Amino acid sequence: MEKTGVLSAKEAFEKLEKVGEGTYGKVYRAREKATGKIVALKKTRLHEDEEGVPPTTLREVSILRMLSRDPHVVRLMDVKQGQNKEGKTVLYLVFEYMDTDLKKFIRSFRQSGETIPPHIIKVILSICPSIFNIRFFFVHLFLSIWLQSLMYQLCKGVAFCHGHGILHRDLKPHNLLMDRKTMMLKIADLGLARAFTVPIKKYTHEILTLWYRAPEVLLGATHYSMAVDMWSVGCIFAELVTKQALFPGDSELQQLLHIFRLLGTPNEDVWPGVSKLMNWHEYPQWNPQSLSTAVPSLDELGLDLLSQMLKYEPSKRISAKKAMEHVYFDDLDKRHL
Amino acid sequence: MASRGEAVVWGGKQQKKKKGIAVGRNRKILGDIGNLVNRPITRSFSAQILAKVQAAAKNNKKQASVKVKPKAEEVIDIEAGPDKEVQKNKNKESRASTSVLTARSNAACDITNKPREQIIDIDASDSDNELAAVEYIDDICKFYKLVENENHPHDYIDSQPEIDQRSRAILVNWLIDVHTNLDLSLETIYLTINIIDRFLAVKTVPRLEMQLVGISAMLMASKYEEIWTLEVDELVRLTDYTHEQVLVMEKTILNKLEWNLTVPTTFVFLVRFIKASVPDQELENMAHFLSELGMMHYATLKYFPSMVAASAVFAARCTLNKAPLWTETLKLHTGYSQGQLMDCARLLVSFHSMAGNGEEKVVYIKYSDPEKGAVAMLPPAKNLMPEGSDSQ
Repeated sequence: MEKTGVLSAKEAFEKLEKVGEGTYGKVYRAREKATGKIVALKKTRLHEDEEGVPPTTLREVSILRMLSRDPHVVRLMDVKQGQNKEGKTVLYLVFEYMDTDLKKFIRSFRQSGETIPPHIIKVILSICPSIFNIRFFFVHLFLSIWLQSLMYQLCKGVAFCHGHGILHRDLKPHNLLMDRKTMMLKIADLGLARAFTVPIKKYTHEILTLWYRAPEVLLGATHYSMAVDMWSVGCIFAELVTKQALFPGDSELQQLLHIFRLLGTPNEDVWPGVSKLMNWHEYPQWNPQSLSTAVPSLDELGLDLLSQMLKYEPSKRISAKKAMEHVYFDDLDKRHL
Repeated sequence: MASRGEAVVWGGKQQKKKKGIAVGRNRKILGDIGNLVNRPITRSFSAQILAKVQAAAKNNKKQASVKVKPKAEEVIDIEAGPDKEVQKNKNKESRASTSVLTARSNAACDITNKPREQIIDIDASDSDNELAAVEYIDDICKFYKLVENENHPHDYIDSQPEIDQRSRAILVNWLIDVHTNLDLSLETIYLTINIIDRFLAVKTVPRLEMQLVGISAMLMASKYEEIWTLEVDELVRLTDYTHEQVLVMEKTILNKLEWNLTVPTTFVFLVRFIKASVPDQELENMAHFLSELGMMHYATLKYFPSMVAASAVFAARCTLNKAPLWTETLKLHTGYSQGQLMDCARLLVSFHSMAGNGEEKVVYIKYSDPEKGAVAMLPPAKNLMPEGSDSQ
């Protein structure tokens, strides 16, 4: 960090292109002039005329400082302060560069059409190989092989965060960075992350992008735990298989109704205490549907793991640590993950 | 005369503190909130949100149909400390206490063949409580133990030309008072003092800037730990510094500490070790009292946070004559034997013995309150006092 006085961010890096933008600021692909290394530069303005360093930045940088020792969390290499044209302080976070994220990855496969289960592909291929378009075949074979690997890496990264006392609170495909060549997946964007102490206290409810938000948060539970991250993992798992969001609500109420239509409207039997949650109301009564109706091409072991990630009762939802031990991953070669 | 002058200076600031806090509590609720992008949730902003939520709540009660329920923003306050959490789990912990009684009963019945003391599963009653993080808590504590030395400040006081142990004690005493009056979480005060000590270990600070370091550290700690961030002006009102000076100091501290705020403080160990002690409310209050006395005194800094926390629990058990003084369960969870804790525990008890004397007694006053079990009024542990007989 003594480097801050030596070279400013503008002097140390050459911006190559803007690769992202949001309420947080802008993200650039950049080259470090001294080493030639390609990095991701995340630029955040410090609103110093008001309240100083934003809490989200303070938490994100500090938590990343601590977590960057794990290969499944994006590595924060440096923090540099600079000034923009108006003389305002800006902060540059220097990250290792990853060439895509899971959202883009999923979208690139969506254009290939409907998914066909791998075992059917094998049968058809063995009978009539000439019928198949080779590219189409390899795309799907490729994805089904890597599904387990990506999910295992995600569970491992989440288990690492939780095992170090960190809730991510914003897991979604856009925040999961990938290297297309190595198929490594890394957790990123810890702007909503929080260090917790046990027992976990009341924390803000302004967390989790709506489609990946756990039902206990939607229903206004005063306390939540690591289980909210595992709900998000379950939604991502389903989305990896189907290429569509599992619960794409456009309001908090619609989000709940999407969930209830598939998993059944919860009651005191399946989720003790649910009717006492702050936002609880009378809802239409749906019976639970089989998960295979929503994720038809996932095999039985995958469906079992998914069902455990989408348990209503937070204390019954599988943890990331336990998920890594699930039989769905038994035949996965884990030596390099 | 120097001491007298010092008192006058701090006295002046104490008066300002009271006025500032009074003013702070009269915050107006502003008009419409509107869409504020990337604005941190400050305390006054939260007041606006609460007003909006209350208005929405009224509307909710009038709605006949679920489908047109308006969206309500949910911002929940942080409770002041661990006391209430423990009370909520009181019934669960009574089951754990039952297993202690069973173990004692079994031991009493079998005089000639004394069995090895039973190790209690302190998380058994929490297996269905996801807020207790039972699947991860041992991993988390192992990690804390592993890294607590990485960010621990070295002995710095002799390399600070204008600051001594007394001026640090005065600052910490004042900050604990501010912390209590602003109703912040215990995590926040422990992190505040951690930030101050780490900064003073790497940067020479003039005496006149000590309080500026203090309020800037508290600002940062509240941003990190609280849902509702302190506003800069809430702290500026208590002092002679400007808004701008606080923000510059904030960035100075962050850069010096390389933005490392995710560090294990004494508090995270204390909560765990108190649980391992199978506590009643009095023991819990006593352990917190001794730990906060430790935070007040520079001499405690030579011990790692986990040692201070374990010693606070041990000294609390000695003070309250718990038998045995140190259990196999505590040894397992703290990683310390009773012998390893003696030096630090004696230090904490010496602080207890003089807590009511002198001028810095915010912690003593805080724990003399019946709400805290008035544990500060109890006599210090005799077996840890220099003159006392050693009863081990």
